[in-house]
Amino acid sequence: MSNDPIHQFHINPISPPIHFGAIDATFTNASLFMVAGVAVASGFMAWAMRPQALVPGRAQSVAEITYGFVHGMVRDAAGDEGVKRFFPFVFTVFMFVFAANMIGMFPYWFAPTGQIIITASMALMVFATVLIVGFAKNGFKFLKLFVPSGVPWYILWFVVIIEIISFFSRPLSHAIRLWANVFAGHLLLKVIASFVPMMAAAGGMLVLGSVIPLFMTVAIYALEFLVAFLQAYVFAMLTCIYLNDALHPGH
Amino acid sequence: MQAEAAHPAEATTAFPPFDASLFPSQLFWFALSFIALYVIMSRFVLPKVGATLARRAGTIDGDLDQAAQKSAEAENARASMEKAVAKARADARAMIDAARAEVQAKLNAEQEAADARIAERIRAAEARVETAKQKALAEVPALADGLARDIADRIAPAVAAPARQRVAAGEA
Repeated sequence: MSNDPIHQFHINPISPPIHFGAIDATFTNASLFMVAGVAVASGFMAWAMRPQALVPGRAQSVAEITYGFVHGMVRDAAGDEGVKRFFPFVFTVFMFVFAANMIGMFPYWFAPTGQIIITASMALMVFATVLIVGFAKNGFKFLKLFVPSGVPWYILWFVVIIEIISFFSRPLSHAIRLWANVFAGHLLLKVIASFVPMMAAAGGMLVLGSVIPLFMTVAIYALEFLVAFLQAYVFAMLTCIYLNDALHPGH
Repeated sequence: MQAEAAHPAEATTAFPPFDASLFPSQLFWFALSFIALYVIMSRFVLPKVGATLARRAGTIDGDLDQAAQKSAEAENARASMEKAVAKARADARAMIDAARAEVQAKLNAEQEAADARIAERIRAAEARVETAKQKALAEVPALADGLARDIADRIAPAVAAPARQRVAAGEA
């Protein structure tokens, strides 16, 4: 293994190159861990819900709590209509991000959410959904999203410009928040952990001192588990808030 | 980076997240896995969880309803039982009162009858006593007369006989 902290983000083909016309569909380590995340997430949910017991066991409880967690999140942010339209989508987003983040926590494995193209795809998917559903449901009243009510006309034009900029920068911040958290966390872990063998190899007092980055690695690892969950939650939460704008554009 | 885009999917780039040549394959597999997850979740998993939660809520509501119903039934049973006990107690009291009144009436009647009988006997006895008294009183003058004659005859027969004849004559 390389000492290069970027090494863990390299994408290497596993299969021979696959092309569907112009589309490069080569199966890489990134593909493998995305598919694995989806397989683990759906496999666990399906296995946990198999008993469909009235009094749930442990696995079924976890599945039901996850359902209730995301369900409550969607309902709080986007109301009952949001639940009706977007609950499966938001649940899929949450499960995908959470599974990808958690799979990335295994040493030597790969974090698909550490690739900005993946987080940007999801953020743009949400952005496009907001635009399409917003215009389909509200017509041109959707533009009221940019015109908050109760603002005097002499600053309204300024507020509208700010609203438009903030609306169009949403996918950017949405994508970069998740990607940067995962990327920076993994990078930091690798850098701090690489201090341990470096200091141990240096000899002298540094051998004893190498326990400091070791403990830091353990502590940051625990923090990264929190971040892995928290960023999945934040990503799903923001998805709910943005989708709510499509349903209720008036502030 | 633009130059390296010519070698797709190779780990030679300095910063893979920004290497556009790696995007197509990632996008392809992302779309595939995301759609697969969406279909699995929305078609199979989420309806199952939702149905299970709804069934549980229904069962709990049903149980609570049943419990409320049972409790109301028990309350009704208690009320009707109390009513029955009160009615039985009132009935018993009425029966006791009736029996007591009946016994009292019988007692009174018998008392009166006995009183009447006793009074009757007393009257009869008094009448007999009166009769006997009258009879006795009626016999007294003759008895006294005879007694006096006997006494007189025994004490002074010589005087008595002529006197008697005088009396008898005088009376005549």
